[in-house]
Amino acid sequence: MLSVEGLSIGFQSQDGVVPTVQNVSFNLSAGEVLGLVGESGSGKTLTSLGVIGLLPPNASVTAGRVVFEGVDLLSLNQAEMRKLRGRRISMIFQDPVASLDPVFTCGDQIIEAIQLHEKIGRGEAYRRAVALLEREHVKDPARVMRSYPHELSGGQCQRIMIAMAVASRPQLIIADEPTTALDVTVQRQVLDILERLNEEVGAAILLITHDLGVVYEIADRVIVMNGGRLLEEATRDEIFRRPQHDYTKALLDAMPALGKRRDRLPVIERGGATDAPRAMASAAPPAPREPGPPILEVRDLSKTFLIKSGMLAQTQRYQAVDNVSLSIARHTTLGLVGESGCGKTSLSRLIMRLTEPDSGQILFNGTDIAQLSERRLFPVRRNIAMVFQNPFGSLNPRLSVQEAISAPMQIHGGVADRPRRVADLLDAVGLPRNAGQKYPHEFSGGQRQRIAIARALALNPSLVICDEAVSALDVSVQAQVLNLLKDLQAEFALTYLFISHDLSVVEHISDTIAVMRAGRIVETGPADAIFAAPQEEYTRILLAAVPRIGIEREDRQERLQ
Amino acid sequence: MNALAGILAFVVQKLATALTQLFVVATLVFSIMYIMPGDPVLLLLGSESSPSPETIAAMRSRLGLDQPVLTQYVSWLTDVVRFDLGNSILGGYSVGQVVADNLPRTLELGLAAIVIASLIGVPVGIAAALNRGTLVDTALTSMTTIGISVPVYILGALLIILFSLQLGWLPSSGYMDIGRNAPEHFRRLVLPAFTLGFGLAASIARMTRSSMLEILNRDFIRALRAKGMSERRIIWQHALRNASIPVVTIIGLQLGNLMGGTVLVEAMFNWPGLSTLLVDAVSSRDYPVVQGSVLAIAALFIFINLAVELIYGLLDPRIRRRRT
Repeated sequence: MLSVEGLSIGFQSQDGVVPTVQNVSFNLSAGEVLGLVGESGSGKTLTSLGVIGLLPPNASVTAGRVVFEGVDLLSLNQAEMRKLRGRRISMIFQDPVASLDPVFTCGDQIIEAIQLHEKIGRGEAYRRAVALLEREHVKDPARVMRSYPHELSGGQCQRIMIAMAVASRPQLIIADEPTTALDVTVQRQVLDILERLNEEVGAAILLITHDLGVVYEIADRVIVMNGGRLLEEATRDEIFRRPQHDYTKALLDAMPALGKRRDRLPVIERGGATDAPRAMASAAPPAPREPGPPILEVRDLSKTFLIKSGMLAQTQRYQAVDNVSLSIARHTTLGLVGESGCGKTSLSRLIMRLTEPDSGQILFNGTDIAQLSERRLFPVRRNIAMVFQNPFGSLNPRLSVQEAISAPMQIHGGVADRPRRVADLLDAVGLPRNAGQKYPHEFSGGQRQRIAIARALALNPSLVICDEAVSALDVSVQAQVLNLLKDLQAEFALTYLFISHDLSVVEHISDTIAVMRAGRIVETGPADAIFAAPQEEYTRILLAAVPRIGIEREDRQERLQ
Repeated sequence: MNALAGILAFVVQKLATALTQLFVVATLVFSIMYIMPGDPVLLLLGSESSPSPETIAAMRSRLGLDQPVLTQYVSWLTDVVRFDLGNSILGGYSVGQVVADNLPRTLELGLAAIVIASLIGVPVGIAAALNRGTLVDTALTSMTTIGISVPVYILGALLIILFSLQLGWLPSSGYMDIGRNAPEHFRRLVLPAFTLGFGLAASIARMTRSSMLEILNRDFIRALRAKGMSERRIIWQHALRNASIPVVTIIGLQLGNLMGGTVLVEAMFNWPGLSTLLVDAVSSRDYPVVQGSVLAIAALFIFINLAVELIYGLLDPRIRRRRT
């Protein structure tokens, strides 16, 4: 039905056309789900935009054909393409909230999508829209139709995007990272919907993702892209059981997997003699230090935010953190998991005293810092550092790396030879020494996160809070940063509070786990015990929702060992 | 909270703010009497060379100036609420009446300027955005620089020279009552409104351009294209409404400039509006008229601002229900 033949896409630049996608070919038959897997910059999204004819203005197809039901789409003009888009080929995007027009109600937007391709009245279109939402099990469709995108959750918005995409029963749905911005339980639901629609409507799905777990869940066949080239194509079972290409193997191995803890994750080595990236067994980790007495103890910590939706509306209380108690032993890692909005970030901000707690104690090394004045708190602050989620937003673009890393030393003083300390830190996080003179935009996401980690370690803190520190990174980079965090923990005697929504990452790095929901800690205990036998229903739901790459991979890994 | 109640709450809240602002302005205007140098009684009796203390006392008592300040304040406020702004010292006519005559003319001039500015600025901004980086964009953007930098009085003079003196298409100045001769009324409105609105048009064009460019890069625009919507409909129906939010902000922020501009424009085109009234009253030290027209201008400003804020809420549902 869809056949992409030798597709090449290039970006216009001052030095001519830069090839970005090179000679990509694949077929998609009716009703099939094809997973297109690759890391950022692999050209997977560009390939899909090339298929639907929505390339950015400075990119163009330089060679190849895209044949859809016998017609070469590249030979069609804009008006002809427009008739196909949304009707025969539709698309679902990564960020559902941003992909809806914020100033129209969701209902208006679904109705608009229906009326674009069918000459029917508004009343009929409305009924169709409600029926579409009902088919996706959206609760109270009438209210959802009346709501604006900002009033709904990401999962609900993605359901609206899907409703629009399937409204006119397209033959092909291109889904570009449809679940990446969603929580794991919502991801589960959205994948179920896609799978069901694929069966009911019979549409083929081109599923673009970086997440092998998602591919494992619903794809029939998989193609793997890297550096703009297609590396491997196989059925789902084959790719997980007998991956052929080194890169695919590396990608599979670099993913932390639930129920399969390893001390270190293999990393993907780039460059070098061979062009193709492949897995490298990384150096043996330093021996972990013995756990000590608790360094941080939180007792009955609470924080309520007051929310007013309008001057005349009643003030509502929102209990972000509700009577939370936890404790972290020295030299260990506490993994704090929960879905978005559960209060994990609020809790970390309270511990950092970036937000004032309403009540409760924060014992750091036995001293209650919950009520300390800012002046008395200042000397304590140097012992607690933080690594944030977005390495692009958390580094000042105007400061060189050297300045960024020495900023904490400038504030707190006490370091005699700052350039030397910066050089040592760059060594520790595995960046070249000359990195100090460069600026953040010269580094990749993973390198920037290393800079952020070096900055966090500048003052030799004893506790480091990592708030979704690897969530924005590609799988292979994520593996490197996770290994680095483990090494640094042993080397610098660090204690981590590791916050993440990704259960497999948390399982990989944590000694103890705390599961948070709606401001409360619902379950806490040793990581092994919680993942092996969760006691609480909510923990079980969370674990069940994680896409699991099945027995195939474990077989393979055992054979490797 | 359903949608209608949300909108109603928003309107009520904005109205309450506007009324509070009006009250503050009225209080400030009242205190002008006490802050400004000179005794109004002496001014009132200015015709007599040296009024006797008895005459002065009688005058004070007649005007209520011998009362405590608070009493005077309360009675002034009560009068204002009843639209009684006192009488002119010089002409003896009712200030409320003359303000009521002049206010609509200034309002009309201001609104006409905003309409003309939007009619020019929005299409120019869209054209520049859609042709980004081309000669069209450069030409239009340079024109906006000229529009922002040319002072009102020079532009006005140039327009009078071109359109009235050289081409003879439009009258150079004056005002015609709409009831007496409607076509002539609007002919006389064109030049002053255009003069007043030109700078605003340039600001609107710039804001529309940058705002459109930002919106056209947003994810939902790509999603609309993927739905198969035509480019024209994407721009006029979706992008423009999103892009107009900062444009409306610019109009609101430029209101002060616009009101300042009316002083020059009304004088230049002999337009009998509030600014003309105020300028005349200031030069002849007719305090009640000064007070009345300042209050009216402030009220007008607050009123247009209120309108801008309400439009804001209509355009963007997120502003209507923003969490505080």
